[in-house]
Amino acid sequence: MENGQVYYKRFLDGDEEALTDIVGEYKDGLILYLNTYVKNIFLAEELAEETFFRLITKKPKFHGKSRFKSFLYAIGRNVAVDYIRHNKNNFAEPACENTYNEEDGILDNYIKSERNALLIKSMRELSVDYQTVLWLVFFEGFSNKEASIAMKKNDRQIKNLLFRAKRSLKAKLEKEGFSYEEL
Amino acid sequence: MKSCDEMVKNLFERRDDYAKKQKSRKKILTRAVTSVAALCLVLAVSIGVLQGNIFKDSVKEPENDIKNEQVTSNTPSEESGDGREEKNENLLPSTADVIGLVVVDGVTYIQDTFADPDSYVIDRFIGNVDEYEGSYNPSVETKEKLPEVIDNIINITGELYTVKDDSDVLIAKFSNGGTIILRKE
Repeated sequence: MENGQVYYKRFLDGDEEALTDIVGEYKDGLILYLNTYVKNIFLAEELAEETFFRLITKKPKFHGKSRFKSFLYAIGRNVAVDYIRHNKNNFAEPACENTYNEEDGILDNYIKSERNALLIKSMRELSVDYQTVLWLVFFEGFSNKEASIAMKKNDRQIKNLLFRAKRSLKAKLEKEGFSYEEL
Repeated sequence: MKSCDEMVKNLFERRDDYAKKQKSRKKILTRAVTSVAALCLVLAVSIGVLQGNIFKDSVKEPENDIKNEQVTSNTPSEESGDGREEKNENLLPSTADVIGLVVVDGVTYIQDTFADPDSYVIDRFIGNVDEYEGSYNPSVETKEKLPEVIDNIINITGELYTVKDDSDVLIAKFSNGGTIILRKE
């Protein structure tokens, strides 16, 4: 059984310490994932907190059919989409230096490989869906099926999206004189 | 950026606040539902009482009308002072209160509640009232026309007489002592 699933079961059984384990394990990844939607690392952090808040107040059922991570990221996506929908008029994509610095800090902690960290930084110019699918598949290790659950899309859409995202990223990297063998 | 412990602490604080809010919401909702239910109950009861009164009134009104009619029809005999008053009191409400109808030789005679039976002189006996078609021996057609009348007086027996000096009038004398004037329609 996956760690997250064990932690969540413990939490549902009344062990509040389990929440610390869940947050510790998934916080950074979730923030970076949500950052692909809102493009503001501080806001992504708030939304990640809101995601955990929904998890502990609503206590949604997890059947174990997918990974706990994709279950959590699906909740996170809903939170982000709700936020964007409710703040349609006020929502703007900030791209200030501070945001990137903080993001880089989390990235450095989360992504050990410098090569991958560079790759992620160059993904910032891609569209939200491309960033999200590349993030889930390459850095979170999601299968197409799991990515489809997290992004609320079907397998075919994920496959096409991933293909186009890879092509787009490859073109961007080649333009900058950088090559990545997995693309 | 928040550390993991800070975030968890914050989450627990928010959850406690949320639980408190939910509790107070539940309380408010319960109170609101209780008071609304009580109000609805009071409304329903008062509507029921009002409707009951209205219904009673609507039932009572015809009774008053009938009593008035009785007084009107009894007045001539009271004025005559020949002891018929007692007889009229003995009349069954069913016979005294409803309009009588008899068909003799194809001519319809209807009860004249205002006429004084004493002002007419009986001429000849032409048969019992139940021998003629009408409210005392109703045809199917009459039954359809005056069902409520038929129910009240169908079993009454009486004698039917012509009167002197007025071929448009008949007098019916009933076994219970009642006398009525029937006038040609």
